[in-house]
Amino acid sequence: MLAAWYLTTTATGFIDPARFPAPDESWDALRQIVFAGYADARLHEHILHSTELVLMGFVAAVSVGLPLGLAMGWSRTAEALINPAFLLIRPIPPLAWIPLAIVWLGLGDGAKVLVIWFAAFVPSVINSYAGVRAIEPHMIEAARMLGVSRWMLVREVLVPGALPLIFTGLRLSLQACWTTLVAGELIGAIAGLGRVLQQGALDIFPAMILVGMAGVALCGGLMTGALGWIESRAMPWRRA
Amino acid sequence: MKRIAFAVAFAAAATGASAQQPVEIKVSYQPALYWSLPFHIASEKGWWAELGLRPVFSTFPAGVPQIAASAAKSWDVGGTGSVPAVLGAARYKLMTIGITNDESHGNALLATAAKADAFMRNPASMKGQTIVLTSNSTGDYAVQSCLAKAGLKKADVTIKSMGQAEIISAMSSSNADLGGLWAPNIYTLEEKAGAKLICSGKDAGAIVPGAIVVRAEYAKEQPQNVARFLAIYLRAQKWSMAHRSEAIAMMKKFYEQGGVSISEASMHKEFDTRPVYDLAGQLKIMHRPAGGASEVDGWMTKIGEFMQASGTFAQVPAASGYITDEYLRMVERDPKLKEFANRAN
Repeated sequence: MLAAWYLTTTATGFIDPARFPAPDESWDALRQIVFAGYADARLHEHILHSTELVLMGFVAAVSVGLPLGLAMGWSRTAEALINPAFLLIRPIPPLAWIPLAIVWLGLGDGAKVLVIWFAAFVPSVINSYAGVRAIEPHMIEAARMLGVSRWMLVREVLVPGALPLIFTGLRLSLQACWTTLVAGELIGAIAGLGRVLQQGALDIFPAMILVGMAGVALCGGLMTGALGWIESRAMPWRRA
Repeated sequence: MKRIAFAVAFAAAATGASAQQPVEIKVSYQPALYWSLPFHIASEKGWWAELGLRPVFSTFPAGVPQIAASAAKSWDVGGTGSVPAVLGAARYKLMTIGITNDESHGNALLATAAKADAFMRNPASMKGQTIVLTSNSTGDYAVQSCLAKAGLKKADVTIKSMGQAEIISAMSSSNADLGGLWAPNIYTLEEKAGAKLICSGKDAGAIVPGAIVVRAEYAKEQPQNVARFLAIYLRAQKWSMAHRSEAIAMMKKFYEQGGVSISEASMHKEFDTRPVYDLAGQLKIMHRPAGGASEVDGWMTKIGEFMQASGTFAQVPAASGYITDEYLRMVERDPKLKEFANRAN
């Protein structure tokens, strides 16, 4: 892939460097942001700031979305009460919340986390709801027949049964956090990979945009990998 | 016989018509801005056709997408801010062939009504404050010049970058006390939220010119069209200076088309605070003495240095590489174009 990149850009000029950066330009951009800085911070500061925002948004979204989805999946009453509001919020794009986020929470990290929250909230609700609904009814009947308490039913049947889809929802939520990061960091970010991407776009600096994208891909990939590790620990029976 | 006569007459008419067909020229600008008004005036007055041009307009919400579109040859000539002009020169060899106006007063640092007086009394009290602005723009350049005038450095404040609409939203809702804006957003914030201008680029000695630009390839292929375009722009600008009340009426309509509504007083302020240059004036500021630099070279180079400091590019584009008065001199040398450009009617 690297060889093809080099051949089509630097070696032959087949792809105009104004349209797609050459490897040496990308390397120069990486060195610039690592050592000298770009968009008012160095790369490690941008990564730290974005990871912080993503984690805050993800944890906030999942803390609300997961229990809500479980409740809606388990209880028809909860579903009837919560679903209408959820269906209204669901189609609104996260970007649309930016002006309100600024008015409600100002220009600090709270507003950015709120925008990311809206993106990550929906997949965690839907998948935990679907996870509960996917549990075989005879498993629940069997547990009830054995006289287990409600709490034990939730802990030993509901949650483990719904876990595969819950984790699918968590992966989607995490992905949504990273893709919404650029929108979130529109709200006056001092640093962050979204800020790098925005500034790169304003500077028409394709090489720096590529560096920003690579940063998001790497961080997103590592966090997804970490989630995968947690998943394998949470569902040991799936490893067999 | 009749049929042959008719065919000959038709062919002659067609040839004559095609010889007089205006030539298409793709013109780009940002809507609802003072320096793009001449394009609208020229269209309303029918001056494009007088010089054999038929403009196809493309508008852009900001300088960056406008410059990016030049790479795809979406437009040939246009007007833009000085920061996008330098960016275009660095990225795509865009040429600056004239100055739309001196918009130093139209790029400024504003404060909310509650805090403005305190900052004006003691500018050094901005230290430690948060300033919202659009990074790497003429507004950013003006703000940093204002900070330097107050004896402050960029590191003495917290800069948060966002679009002009977000800045207006943030300052109107008191989520930010200081902001860097350009006209007409300055007037929008003053009129709608009571904000006050505490320092402009002009106050800080930072000249912020607007640029008339052309794609280098197009300029090489169609120099005559570029000269005609310049002559039309200069005439429209001269007319607006000589017929201010009519120009203000056109400006109101033009701004409304671009979704901007400001008071007539603010429109007058635009005229009062933004000097423009006629043909002689343009040639003067763009003239390079032997072995030296022109005034415009100096202005644009300072802007390039500001962009370099922000990390936009490693090297400041050499002014002589992209700023040229060649097309203005073509207008000057051609008696018809010169007369056209200097007409105030």
